[in-house]
Amino acid sequence: MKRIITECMFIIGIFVSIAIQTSLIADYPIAASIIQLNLFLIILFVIFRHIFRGIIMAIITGYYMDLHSALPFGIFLFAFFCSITLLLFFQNNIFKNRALHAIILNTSSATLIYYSVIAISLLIVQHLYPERLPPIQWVHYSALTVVQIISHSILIVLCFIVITIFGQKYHKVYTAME
Amino acid sequence: MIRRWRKLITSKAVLLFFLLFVLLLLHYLKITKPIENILSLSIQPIQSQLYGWVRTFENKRFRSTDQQSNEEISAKQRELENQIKELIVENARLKTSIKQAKVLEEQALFLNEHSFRAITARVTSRSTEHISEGIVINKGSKDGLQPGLPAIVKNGIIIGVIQEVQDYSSEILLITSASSQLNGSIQNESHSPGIIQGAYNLSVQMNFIPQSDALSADQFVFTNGLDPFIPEGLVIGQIKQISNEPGSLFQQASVAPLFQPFEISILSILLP
Repeated sequence: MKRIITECMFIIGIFVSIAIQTSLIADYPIAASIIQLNLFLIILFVIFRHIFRGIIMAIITGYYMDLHSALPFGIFLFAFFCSITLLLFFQNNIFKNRALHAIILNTSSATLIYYSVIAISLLIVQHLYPERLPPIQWVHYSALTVVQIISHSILIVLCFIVITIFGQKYHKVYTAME
Repeated sequence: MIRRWRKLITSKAVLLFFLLFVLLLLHYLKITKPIENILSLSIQPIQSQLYGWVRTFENKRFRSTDQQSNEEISAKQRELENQIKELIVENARLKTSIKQAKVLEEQALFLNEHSFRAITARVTSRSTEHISEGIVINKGSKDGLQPGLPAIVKNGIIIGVIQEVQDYSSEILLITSASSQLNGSIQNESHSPGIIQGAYNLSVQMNFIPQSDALSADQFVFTNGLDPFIPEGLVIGQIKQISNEPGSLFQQASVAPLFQPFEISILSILLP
């Protein structure tokens, strides 16, 4: 019973996070350029080993974002999938340890991959259907990517510290870091 | 060799991408339509609530900015405005409801006068991508909406055109969006035609206006009925600036839209 309630809360949490991103954060250009809440939560889940939850969230979020986007269906899903897959690859093969620098690098890589995949998709769409997209300001897009990499890294550090302090699971890592 | 293939097939990455392609396939075969509807309908109430809060907050902020500029005029006025501000804070929700009711009334009056068939919809969120300027509404193909239908506010101000339609929601591309294009005419003697294009997601530019036509600032721009589904006479905006290069075949005009994107919470979609 407890597990069912937890899973229901998790699904409701996903819906709320999507609503916050699309109705609240998206309405303020500064907030929207600082954080992509859904991407950040997915990274958080994957980094803290709730991989299945991260995948579920990526599917639901990507699917919803594709439904309400003027871009061809699948771009956001593909971006989230690439981001998760490569994040898992980095986590299991390159930045294996649970130190803070590894977590920051993993977060930055996942954010960079997400925006790179969308950029490549936009280039393809622009090439195939030039009338479908307005001219994209790549300087602005690159600046947004850099800002989000930095802000996501800062946020993941804060989450890492909070989780370390309040949870026992990562206690050893935090003390090792100190 | 077989072991390596088995390892590759069962790897997480391959499974994830297989899942992705299955999802895309199911979407394009329209098998996942019921799930998509559930997804949209589940998120809509939360989005509407959040969007409503944002609108209330923005309206309050907009008004208090006005008050700050008036504060500089006189101390008496400042006191009065402070009182108004307090009242606005106290009655913010009520005022929003009244405002929405007025908008609805105005829209209903306009629709009755012109015998238009329309559906009233509520804005639930902004479009998920930031390249174009769009909003999402809570009505979709199940309510008779289809791409190309115009969205209006107040007494016939066109704000955009439906671009994507789901069963229970639709995305409207605002006329200020850089990828938006409409046919329009200026309210002058020759009813000068032109193409209305969004400029930087902020304002509107009217291009291809015949060079021989006399234009002046403050003239209004209307739709001319040349676009499918968009009737004649919907207000697009007001001319603010005219650029007329000597030797050029056409002239251009900067048009100020008569709506603020953040103020839109209720709108009407004109049906064919």
